[in-house]
Amino acid sequence: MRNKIKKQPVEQILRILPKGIRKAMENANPESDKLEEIRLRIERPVSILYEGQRWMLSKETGLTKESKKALYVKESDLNECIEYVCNYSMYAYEEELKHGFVTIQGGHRIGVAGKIVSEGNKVLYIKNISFLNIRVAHEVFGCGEKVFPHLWEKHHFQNTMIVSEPGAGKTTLLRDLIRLLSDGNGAYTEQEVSLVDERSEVAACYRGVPQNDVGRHTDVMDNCPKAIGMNMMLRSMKPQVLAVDEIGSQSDVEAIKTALHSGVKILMSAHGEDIERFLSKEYVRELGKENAFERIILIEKKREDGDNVTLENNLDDNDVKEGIMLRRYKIYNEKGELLDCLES
Amino acid sequence: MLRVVGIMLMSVAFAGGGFAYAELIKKEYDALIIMMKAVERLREEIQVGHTPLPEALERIGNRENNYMGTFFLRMVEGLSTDVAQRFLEVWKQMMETSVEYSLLTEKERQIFEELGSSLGYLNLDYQLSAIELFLTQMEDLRMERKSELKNKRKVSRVFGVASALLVSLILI
Repeated sequence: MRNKIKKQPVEQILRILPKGIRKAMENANPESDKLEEIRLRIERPVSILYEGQRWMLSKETGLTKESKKALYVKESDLNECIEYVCNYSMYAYEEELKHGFVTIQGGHRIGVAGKIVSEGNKVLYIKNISFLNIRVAHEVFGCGEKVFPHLWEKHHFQNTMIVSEPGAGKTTLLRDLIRLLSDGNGAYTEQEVSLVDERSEVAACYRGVPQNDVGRHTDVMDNCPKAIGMNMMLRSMKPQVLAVDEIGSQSDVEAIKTALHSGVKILMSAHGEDIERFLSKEYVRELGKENAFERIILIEKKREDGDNVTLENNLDDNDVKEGIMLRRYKIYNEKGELLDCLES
Repeated sequence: MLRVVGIMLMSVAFAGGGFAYAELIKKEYDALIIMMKAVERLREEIQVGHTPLPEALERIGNRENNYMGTFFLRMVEGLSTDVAQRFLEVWKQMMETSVEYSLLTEKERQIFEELGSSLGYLNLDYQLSAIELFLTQMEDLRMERKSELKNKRKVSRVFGVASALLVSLILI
């Protein structure tokens, strides 16, 4: 049985769109769980990824493939959109903008590009924001249920790393596993989980309140650099499991080592194409020495015919229909030996 | 007898008018100070907590029991409607309905509107500079008002009493 996608209110996305584009989107009347991405590029048509297909937003008739009918983005549209995305407070999102994205209520991530003002290697400010990528977050309840039992050994949760390419569902799986750990699931007792949510994507806190379900026993350190947040959580919240998304820097590695030495279990995610390349990365080798990955979950997107697909763009329009896009979870041990392969 | 009562009532009315105008001048001055204090608190929220505007306006609005508190809370309502509007649009709408126009001079209203146009879309340094500029301009106007305040109130009261006396003399 396929996992049920919890409906995300498309209103959250509509609210941040400039008036003209919002009206056209309302005409298109998109369904929350099919809307994946909206791209606004200055003086280009509004581009929409819907059910895996790339469309343009029409001025009047919903979605179109014809650029003549498409609605074009003006500079004022982008300024208006930025105003809404930053909750009328650009100064409050300076750090996020420097990193190239802002997360809004509901956990939707807005990527930005424009002119960078820098000093050496340091980004001081981003101005003339001319390109926006609005990625719609989908909270998929139960997507981790099949994987969850494989992450335990003798009633003890194992240090776990989730690996995939961008867009394959790392954060979605991480969120569901946190929820399952936190609430407990059948024979598996609930754990005190501390989540360091640097990009506000996992719990999607809005004014301190998690908008996504991350379980009853989860504490969230929101919008905090991972390494700092992990150390703070260790000192202050006495977690049994520390959860963190998209690790990769040396400071993350040091913080994870500290946590492991404290006897805390780690649930984390990172980018990776396949198991061999992932295990060959320097920071992975360093963490491997500390026994940081007792389980590695590799997520692969696949089509129903069984071919692995690494990029959605590789698909033809006809390939992606409701129900065809599936995920395969490969579970490895710390040595990179395949333990199990599950489909969802 | 009726004539005497009439003269007395008219004298009281003229004198009272002078005193009431003196109080109005004081109220206008106080309104300016209330506005400046509210914007100073907004600056602190932005500078210290990097608090987003809707949240900052709500916090200050809940603490301030005056017309600026009402204005800020109405701004929060305007910004959190289902159909998002631009900040300046909401600011102008709320100025028309909430800020006690009669208490502010045209110049003060204009500077306050300019503040609305510079809030929200700048980075921290520029945002604080914009607020600083507003407060400096307002401080100049406040000093101007203060220097005139004492004399204006005195003149207003004296004028009221003098008018009352004059009317009494004419009618007697």
